[in-house]
Amino acid sequence: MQFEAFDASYLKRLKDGDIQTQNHFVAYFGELIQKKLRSRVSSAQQAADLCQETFVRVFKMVRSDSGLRHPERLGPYVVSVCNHVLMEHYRGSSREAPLGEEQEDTVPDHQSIDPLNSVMGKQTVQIVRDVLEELPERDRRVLKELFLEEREKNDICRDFGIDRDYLRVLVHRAKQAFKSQYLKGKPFDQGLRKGNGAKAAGTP
Amino acid sequence: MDHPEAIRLMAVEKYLLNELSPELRRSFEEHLFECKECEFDVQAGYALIDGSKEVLASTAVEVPKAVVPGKPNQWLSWFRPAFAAPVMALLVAVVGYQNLVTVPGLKNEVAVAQAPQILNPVYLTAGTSRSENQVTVTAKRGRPFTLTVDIPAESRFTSYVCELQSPSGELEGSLAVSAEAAKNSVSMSMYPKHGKPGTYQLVVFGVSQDGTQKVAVERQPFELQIQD
Repeated sequence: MQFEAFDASYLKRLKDGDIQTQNHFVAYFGELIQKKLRSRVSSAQQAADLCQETFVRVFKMVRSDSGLRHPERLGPYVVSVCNHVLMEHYRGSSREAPLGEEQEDTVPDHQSIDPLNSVMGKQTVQIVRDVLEELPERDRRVLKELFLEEREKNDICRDFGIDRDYLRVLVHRAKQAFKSQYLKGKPFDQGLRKGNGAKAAGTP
Repeated sequence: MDHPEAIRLMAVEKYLLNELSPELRRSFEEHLFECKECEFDVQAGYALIDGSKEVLASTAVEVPKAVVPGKPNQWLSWFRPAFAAPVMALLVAVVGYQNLVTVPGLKNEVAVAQAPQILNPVYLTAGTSRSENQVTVTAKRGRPFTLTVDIPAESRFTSYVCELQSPSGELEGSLAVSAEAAKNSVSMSMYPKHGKPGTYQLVVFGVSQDGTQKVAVERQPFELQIQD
């Protein structure tokens, strides 16, 4: 398969219904989705139906007015939709109601499907603020250049006298601190359940 | 890609920073479909990025002055021709003056000082403090002169200090003398800093063992004349 960057151009072509891009997208993720579903549902037909449902929801979101704002997050978004569809299947809701009728309520946008979305807003911002305040001043500046200014990583490394490994470790530390504060007093799975909707007990 | 490999590769961080090769990205996304922990890690990373954008945008974080290509450093501006040319000209003038005037003059003085010469020490004897017997010392301008003095040794002093005082009472130079050296006549070379003629005074102080006591034990005035 020819690899393509999931960038704004790719997303626009996908949104505009470019056949070649759409085929690439389906081929790229179809294999991954099928592989996941085949080990979790009882028949190949069920897996194919759920895969189809996943793509329907993803394309609906991609072509909606709000759309996806971060093309580089396309992969995790498809994973989330797939998980969402699978959960519904486990709950039996997908068997009780035709998929088409449920779409309006279950098509997640790329924010609401975020497992951390339930605390997005003031609480998340406060957690991030706490995490950033714990960092040394230089590291805060690095993250500002990296996330807010979206400068080239090599330029940031040159200006601050650091290397790419330092950047990765810095992001790792900040992410771990964020997770730690977010999950404080909250089991890991509970954090996932809050964002992904009610996850049935016993979900593999 | 399995979870230990994802951890070892820091795949989550590289994915967030868009640093994975297409092959590794594919492999990691395949892993994402299977691994709740990595999926959550990625979502946490995105939440951190989004939250950081909001926090850092509203926080006055002083961004260090980056070195912008093409914008010369302030210090380097001194090397621009507008500054460098006159500075270089000034330096050439200073160096030229030093080479042509100052250094030869100093060399000449050193050569004169190092050349063998006859010393005519002036002996300051006791009793010359009285004006009628005042000694006259003649020195060439810019050259030292030699004085010889007998220090009245006292047991309470462990050392002595000879000070040359100008007509206005300013200290022109000093010389420490041990008690042992003070047993004999002491010859010393003095160099009047200001080179002005007048009545100078050589004052000898006795210094106690602990260094706290300093007492004038001898004052020898003399008339200094300067010859060009």
